[in-house]
Amino acid sequence: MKVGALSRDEAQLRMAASGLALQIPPITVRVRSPLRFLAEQMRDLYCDYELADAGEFADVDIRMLRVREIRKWVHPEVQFIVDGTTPFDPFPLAQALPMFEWGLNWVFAHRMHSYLLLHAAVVERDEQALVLPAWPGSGKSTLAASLSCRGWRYLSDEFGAIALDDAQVLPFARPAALKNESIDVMRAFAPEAFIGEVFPETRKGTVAHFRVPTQSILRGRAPARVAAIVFPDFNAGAPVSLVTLGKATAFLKLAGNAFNYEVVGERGFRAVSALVRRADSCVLRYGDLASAHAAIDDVMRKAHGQK
Amino acid sequence: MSVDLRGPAAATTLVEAIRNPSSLVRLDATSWEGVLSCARRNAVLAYLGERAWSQGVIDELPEVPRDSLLSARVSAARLAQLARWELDRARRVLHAVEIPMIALKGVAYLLRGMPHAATRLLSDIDIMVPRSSLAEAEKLLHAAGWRATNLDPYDQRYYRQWSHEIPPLQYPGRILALDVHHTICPPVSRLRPDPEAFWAASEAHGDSGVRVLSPVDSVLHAAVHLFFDSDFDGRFRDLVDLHELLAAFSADDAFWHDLVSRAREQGLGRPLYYALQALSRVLGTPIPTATSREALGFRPPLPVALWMNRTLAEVLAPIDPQRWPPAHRGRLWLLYVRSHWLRMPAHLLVPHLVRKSLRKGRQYSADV
Repeated sequence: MKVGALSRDEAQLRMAASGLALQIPPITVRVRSPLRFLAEQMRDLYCDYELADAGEFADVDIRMLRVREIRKWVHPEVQFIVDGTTPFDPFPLAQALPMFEWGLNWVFAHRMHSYLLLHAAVVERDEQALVLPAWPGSGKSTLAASLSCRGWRYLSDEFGAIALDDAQVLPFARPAALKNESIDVMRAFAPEAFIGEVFPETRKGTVAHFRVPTQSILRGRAPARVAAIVFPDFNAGAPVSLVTLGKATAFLKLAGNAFNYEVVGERGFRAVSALVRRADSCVLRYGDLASAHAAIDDVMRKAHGQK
Repeated sequence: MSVDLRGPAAATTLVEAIRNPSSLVRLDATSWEGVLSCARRNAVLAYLGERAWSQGVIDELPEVPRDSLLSARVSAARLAQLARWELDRARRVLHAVEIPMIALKGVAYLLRGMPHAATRLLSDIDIMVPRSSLAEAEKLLHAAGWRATNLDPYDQRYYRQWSHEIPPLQYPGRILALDVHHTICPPVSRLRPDPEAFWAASEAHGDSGVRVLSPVDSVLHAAVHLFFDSDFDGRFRDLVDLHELLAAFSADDAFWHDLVSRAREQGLGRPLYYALQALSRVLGTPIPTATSREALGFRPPLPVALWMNRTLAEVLAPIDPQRWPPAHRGRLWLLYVRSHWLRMPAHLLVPHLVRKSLRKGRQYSADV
């Protein structure tokens, strides 16, 4: 059953009791919370995801609970609890959803060492995956979200999960966290896209979540072959430019950008080597989405020609 | 939904799996979820993976829990690698001026090549230098780039006057902190083992210039640490360390006898008694009858022993991750006071606890 098949009340009741067990390939995440507004927001963002049964295995067990303390009545707060621990200081209650999303990223980055985890957005078209590794602020979430509105499959806006044996990339398709100006940019670019509630004044500025297109979720946990690596570098108003990187430079940039390169050790080294040998890398400077898309089309045509 | 299998029952399943990893083969999905979560909460997931690996059952496990176990093992192994590196960096500094050093706890288990050592989730490494060299060691480590972690003046003074170590050092950009000790118990505490005796019995680790405590002293140190650290949250991991130390060292026939006589000699009988009690109650660690009988000589008056043993078995057992807010707060507080009581004379203790409790209020709800 899909999350969207639950009525508003059912979603709230279930989340408050046994929890919503969301299948977000490659893992299942159980979320429990009595917060009714959170259940509603999650139902909107995750409506196309399958629910696991209560008795099925969940990889991650998260509770979002209100902080019980008298002085928190005036400024209510919420805490993120995973395996009975609270890795973060509480957030304002209204920011429960951004906290859940960031918290789940943190859990994934700290646990999934059977993959090399690139800090990257990933999209795919015609069996050709495009990896967009970048630090926060370089526009990778916006780029991935916008491409997914133009026929690309959306795999992730945060993690390039690379299998250590064959260096294929796996999806971890979650709502894209759009920040500040990019919220309006996406609204203008794809008026049909669903963007959730806007959360002003979070720790990372104003945040809103872009819902993953249904078609991408239907592709499930199917891995994809990496065909090109593009390091996005957004500068408002800048002219578009593509600079090809040498293999050695690409290796260092990619390894340095991974969450767990040192942790996975030699297997990570081999995975990065395989990626840079297989796919060409370049830096994409851009100032607007349309010209970035055109440049990416060029990159992919070239990658396709080389295949 | 069978909440129980994820809740309190998970702790029992976890202990059983540690003792007998082949019991993992029979678990259903719900039990697996409970065991993995409980192992994570108690920082023993990598250890459980190591147990399953070394007992040859890892390949019989379903794919998902197996990946979690292996992943945790990989992550802990990385910390172990960093710990060896940090130790080597400190050694280079101290070795140059011939300040001798003993590696303690986690990093010492690594040097000894114990299988559980690379599964500990280290946040620091511990070394001991002679008290007479402490000031010089601190100066040299500062000169070599380590920095004192950010402590307020009160905490600084606490460490320097009443503690058995200097404030933790941190090398900028590195993950693990460096704790430099000059003995194993706080100097103002009621326990006063002779540090000279630890040095005399210590063993060289190859020709690296680093020494490790003798087997019996390692166990006594771990036992003291178990009851002296004021933080009783999540001490199941420390109990597991003791369990493994005993399993490894008891291969030597003389070990148990030496352990008891060394405890007597160093005045550390009480912590040893409590440790053995807790081990046998929580983990079912095999302890020879003769040793248990001898350790009874270290027992406190019976009512105290009964309360302490019951309380310790409760707070040292795996914490149930499902319970929120976490349990045992009242007893944890009593034990916290007790650990300080052992550490500090009353005229120092009371003002210290008042100060701590006033300061605690701010962050309390966030990081219990």
